[in-house]
Amino acid sequence: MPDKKSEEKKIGVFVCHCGTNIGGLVDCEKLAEYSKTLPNVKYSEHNLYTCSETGLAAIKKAVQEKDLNRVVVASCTPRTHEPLFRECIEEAGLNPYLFNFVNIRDQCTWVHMKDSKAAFEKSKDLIRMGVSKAEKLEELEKIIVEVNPTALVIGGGVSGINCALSLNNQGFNTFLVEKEAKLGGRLKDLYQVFPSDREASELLDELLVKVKEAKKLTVYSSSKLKSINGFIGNYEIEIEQRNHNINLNVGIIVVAVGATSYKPLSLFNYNGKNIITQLELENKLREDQIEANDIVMIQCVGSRNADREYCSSICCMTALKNAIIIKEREPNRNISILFRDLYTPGTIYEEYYRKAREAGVLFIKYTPDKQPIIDKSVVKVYNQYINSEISIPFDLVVLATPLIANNDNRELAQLLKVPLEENKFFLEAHVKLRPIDFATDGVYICGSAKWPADISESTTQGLAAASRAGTILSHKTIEVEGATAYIPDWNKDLCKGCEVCIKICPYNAIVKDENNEIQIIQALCKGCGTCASTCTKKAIVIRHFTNEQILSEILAFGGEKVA
Amino acid sequence: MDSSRNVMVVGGGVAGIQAALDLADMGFHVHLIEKKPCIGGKMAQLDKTFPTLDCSICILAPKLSECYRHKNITIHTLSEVKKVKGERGNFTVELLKQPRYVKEDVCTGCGDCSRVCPVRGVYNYFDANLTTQAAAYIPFPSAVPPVYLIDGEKCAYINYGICELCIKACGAEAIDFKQKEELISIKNINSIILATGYDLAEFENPLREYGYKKYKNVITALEFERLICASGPLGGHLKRLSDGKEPKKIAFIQCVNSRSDKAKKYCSSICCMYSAKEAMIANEHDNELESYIFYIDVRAGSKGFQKFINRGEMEYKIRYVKSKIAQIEIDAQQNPIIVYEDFESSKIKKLKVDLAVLATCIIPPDGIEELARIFKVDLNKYNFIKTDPFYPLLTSREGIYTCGCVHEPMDIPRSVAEASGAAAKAAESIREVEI
Amino acid sequence: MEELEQIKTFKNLEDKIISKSLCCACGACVAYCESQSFDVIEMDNYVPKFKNNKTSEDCRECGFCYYICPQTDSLIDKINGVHLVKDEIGNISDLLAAKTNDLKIKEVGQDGGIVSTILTYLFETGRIEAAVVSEFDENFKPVPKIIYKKEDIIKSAGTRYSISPNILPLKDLYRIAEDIIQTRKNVYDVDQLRVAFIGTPCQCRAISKMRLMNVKPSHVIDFVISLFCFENFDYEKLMNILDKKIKIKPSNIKKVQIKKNMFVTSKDSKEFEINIKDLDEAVRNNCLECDEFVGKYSDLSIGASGAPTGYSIIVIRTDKGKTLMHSLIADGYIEKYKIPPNLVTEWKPKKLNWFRKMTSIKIKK
Repeated sequence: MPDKKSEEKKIGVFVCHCGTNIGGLVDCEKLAEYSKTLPNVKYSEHNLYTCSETGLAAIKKAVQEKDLNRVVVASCTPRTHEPLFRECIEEAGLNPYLFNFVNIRDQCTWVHMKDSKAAFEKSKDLIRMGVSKAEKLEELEKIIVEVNPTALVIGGGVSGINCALSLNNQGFNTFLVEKEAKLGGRLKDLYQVFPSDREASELLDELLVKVKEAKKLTVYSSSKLKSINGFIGNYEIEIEQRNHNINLNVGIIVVAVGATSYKPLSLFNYNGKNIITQLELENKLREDQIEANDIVMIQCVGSRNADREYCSSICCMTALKNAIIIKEREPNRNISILFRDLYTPGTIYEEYYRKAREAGVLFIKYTPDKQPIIDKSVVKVYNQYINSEISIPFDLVVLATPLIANNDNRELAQLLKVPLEENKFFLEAHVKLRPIDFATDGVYICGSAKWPADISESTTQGLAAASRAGTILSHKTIEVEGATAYIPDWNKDLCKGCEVCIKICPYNAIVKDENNEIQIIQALCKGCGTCASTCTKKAIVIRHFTNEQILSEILAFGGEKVA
Repeated sequence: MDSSRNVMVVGGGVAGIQAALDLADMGFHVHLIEKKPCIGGKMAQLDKTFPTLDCSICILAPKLSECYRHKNITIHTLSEVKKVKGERGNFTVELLKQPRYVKEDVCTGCGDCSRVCPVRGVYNYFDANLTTQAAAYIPFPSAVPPVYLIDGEKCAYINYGICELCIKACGAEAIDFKQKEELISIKNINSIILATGYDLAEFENPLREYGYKKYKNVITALEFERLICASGPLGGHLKRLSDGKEPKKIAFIQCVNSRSDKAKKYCSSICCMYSAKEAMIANEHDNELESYIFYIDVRAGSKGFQKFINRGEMEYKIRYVKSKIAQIEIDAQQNPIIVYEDFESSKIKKLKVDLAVLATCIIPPDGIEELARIFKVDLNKYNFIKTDPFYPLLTSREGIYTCGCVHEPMDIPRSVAEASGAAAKAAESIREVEI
Repeated sequence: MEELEQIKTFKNLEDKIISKSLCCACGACVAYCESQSFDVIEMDNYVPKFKNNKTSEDCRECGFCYYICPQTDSLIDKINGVHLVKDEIGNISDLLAAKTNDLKIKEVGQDGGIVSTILTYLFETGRIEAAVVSEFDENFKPVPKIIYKKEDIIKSAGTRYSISPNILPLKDLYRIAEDIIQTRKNVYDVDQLRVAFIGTPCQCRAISKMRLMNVKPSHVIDFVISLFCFENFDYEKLMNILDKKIKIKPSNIKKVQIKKNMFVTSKDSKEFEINIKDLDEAVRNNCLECDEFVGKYSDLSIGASGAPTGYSIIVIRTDKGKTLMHSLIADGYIEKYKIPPNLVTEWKPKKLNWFRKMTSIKIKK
């Protein structure tokens, strides 16, 4: 193979008018002429729309006829058009990374619309910089990662089961790992589930039948995760089931470990007997063990406060559901619900709230600064509508407590190298647009492990995780962007092992291997540059944005030629 | 491309886009159908989104681009589904495509046609009808597809045979007045995902009771969103429409036509969050600005939402007043006066503000009854698409799935998660046939 | 879609209308072309022509100047449809006579001072941001202008008796809009401006054609008032006749009125009368071909012809016009003429017949 570094660089520059967006303010013909004067530029032209079929054809023609080996397009924005031009020169026979984009629209003519002279000069500067970098560009290859079309779902609750079933139905071998002896998660504890009177056990049985029929699904119950190695497409998992270790190889991992119900040990004189939690009430309802005539339910116990600054979203509906059950069995029982804000959003839930009111449940709003007080056999609560304290006699107080993160979330997070947020729930890549992904590719999150969720949302998120996983598992290999970070051989001695890069990488792509050497996992690296700019020894290099390349741009701007 | 691995996603908002991307990434072919000239839906119109205060279009645009460039996605804009035949595994769908009068594969989105077009007065839905545009236009600058279109009702050439200025100005020769309404038939569709989103209620009452459209300083939340957005009619410098004064006190009225016996009984779900967000953005623009949110219950249950609300109260001068207000009056300077009951004192009080913003209710999108008829799916009693909470994302018809606000009011994170979920169902359906 | 063999250009307009002295100098063609920044035509001494260094090669050939020209046949059927025009006097919703209650306007108003009062009301209630009117210069020459301050209304009171190309100032709309946005502050977008237009029937006809097509710069016109017009004069020729007949210099003219004959009041309070026939030489050629007297394409048509002394007659054509007139009366801006009880039933039909008569006289000329 010819030594690419020493071959003569032949750069082609294409200046785009972009209709009148660029051409209306600056003289593109003159810019093309100017480009010709720059070092290593063997050809230049200007086009009305470089991105059009004619423009792209002109680039391909010039590359072939003029034997160009670098292409610079001065036009709009790489955000929308870089892949297009890269593909274009690839079709012309060049490595797609030998293309450099100079933005003279968004970064020039659009922002300097009132000063065409200055915009022209700036366009020249930008093109000069772009050409200088182009000379230093090198061929890069996209990284191909093989994918093992197998999935691991950690957690066998309603979310995990639905996820595993969907993955099975999509044709992928799936392992479902559950630490308890039986599948079902919190479904096992619940009685009737809102917003209907279906029983949780009925739902669970339905799911279990499907699990049994699922041909590609293997369930490991009473099993815990011991270690995880590898990266997207190639995870080596070790689980422990009743004291023996099992090794699994999977392509992706889904975290569906759910959450725990909070026990308010120090709040409202909780005693587990006549001051109980909603979960404990479920049990009593199932056994039809309610004798109490006067029931007071208190919402937001242990949540929406300084300790837990969140609303657990399912407790209001739980309280309403249980209140309705009690009222339907014995309409004469008195039920009061002390709440701060009633969380029944949407159509069905808001209807449920009305149903509870119509059943005769009393709703009394309290504010966080004046918490209800248990005083012997009376609940005292201050209500702002009547501006006075109410004393409600009770036989039973039911406290609505939040779902909190599992105790072992931290351990799992460390194994998977994924982050937790301040309440110790797992933290997704982006709250809005990537709610089911982790920032680390190949690992997904769903259900209450992410945030308290009801059955409907847990199911939906489980399906979503199956879809997200499916986008990887559907392919034999996946291609990863080639402009990644790496430590070149000649820099290996510079690295002092300070590990700042490991801590700072937003994609958890850097690890220390068995030889105590820093390894940047190419498959996970996004080339963001955070590690390279933080490395105090300047050991890390970002392909396509090397120090040399960037420096040459700066020097070209300043007017000096780079050696 | 194996023709039996086709999915149709109806609706190009954030939910439809996410479902399309997931399916396309899995290797299936997706037909993304959008009624408007561009994809993006309501999310593209927002300024910032809760609870992260990310710029909405900034986080959406990369997904729009990805959709447009994806080899496995065919976007059909200006298209509506008119007929559906067949069953899961083999649907045939007929689309009606409106003429754009611009060749989609030739137009480069440069905008020269719009600059030269002499016809004005086309109301811009993207700006909540606060601005007008030329007859040759694009709904917003970074619209996808980046293709202009010509409003057939206002174009002088189409109506009177004169002008042709756009044809002369277009360097790419993309203008094509010969285009007509087209019926397109797409066969071999394995499954369909309905993601047509929502509309916002603007009915006569109770909005009229609060002076909407009568008083210039009583506006809806979407109008406020456009006014405060940097790409909107005011360039992001909030001013009231009656006299250009910068507001210092804003009242946000919740549950205007939701949770109401007179209007809609249900809860619109996202308004507590978006009103707090709008108040926070307004305060970001002007640190002196105070907001009063008149509410019934503050609903902030999802991730980070309660913290967001707390932050609003502590750092952004938001005050919560529990009250479903009675009325909005107006004084001689066009200042809205909120008439409400104050619970502390048990008295009727009046609060004078500079601007009143009404949180309008999410309602099923225009034409949903027709949609339900065409797809033969059931609607629930609120006219949203009927689903079962324990078997979410499924409609009453096999092979047709749904996600997002078309079946239940919901926020963006939930819409995106549901979209992926619906994609999983469609993927299962396709694989079932294959396996 | 109306089929044309080929789009009409400015050259066609010159050949068919301008060179045949049919041009009414309304300014529409120039206003449109300039608001598009084409920089091709201009108004030179009340005649639209190519700019100095421009020829028909530079013409964009879009056809709008021809279509919107009030003197061409184009679109007449369509605007008749929009304005519900079925006969020579147009759609009449109601008819009344009134005079202003504003003392300042009374002083300078032509007859009832209605137009100035309407503008005052529209500005005061914030219904419009600007108005297109005609002011006088110190030589009694009409100067068409866009005004956006209430104080400027008074300067445009009174009737002009020579040509005033009222549509012409709209060519500067976008330049003026910046000023308006600075001062008025409630407008955030030039295209949201609401402008009232006052003009002669031919000018209102042009505006109507432009608004039908929603074409710049007419898209900001929100309210149209047409003035009764029997004929209009060329400025130079008229001043020459006045100089010859009554020895009055333009700078000395205070007010001019036509009621059968022409009455001139000088600044030094002298009154003169001139026989209307003596003015025939100064009448513009296009006026001889015109068939509109009351102005069919407007919200309101206003004039003195047929009105009791001191009052103006207002013809209401649209709901917009109707609401406005009611508000003006209810809020005391104007006083409605009380028809003598014995004349009540025949008053309106009499006026309508009067209009028809005036129109037919005009057509016969």
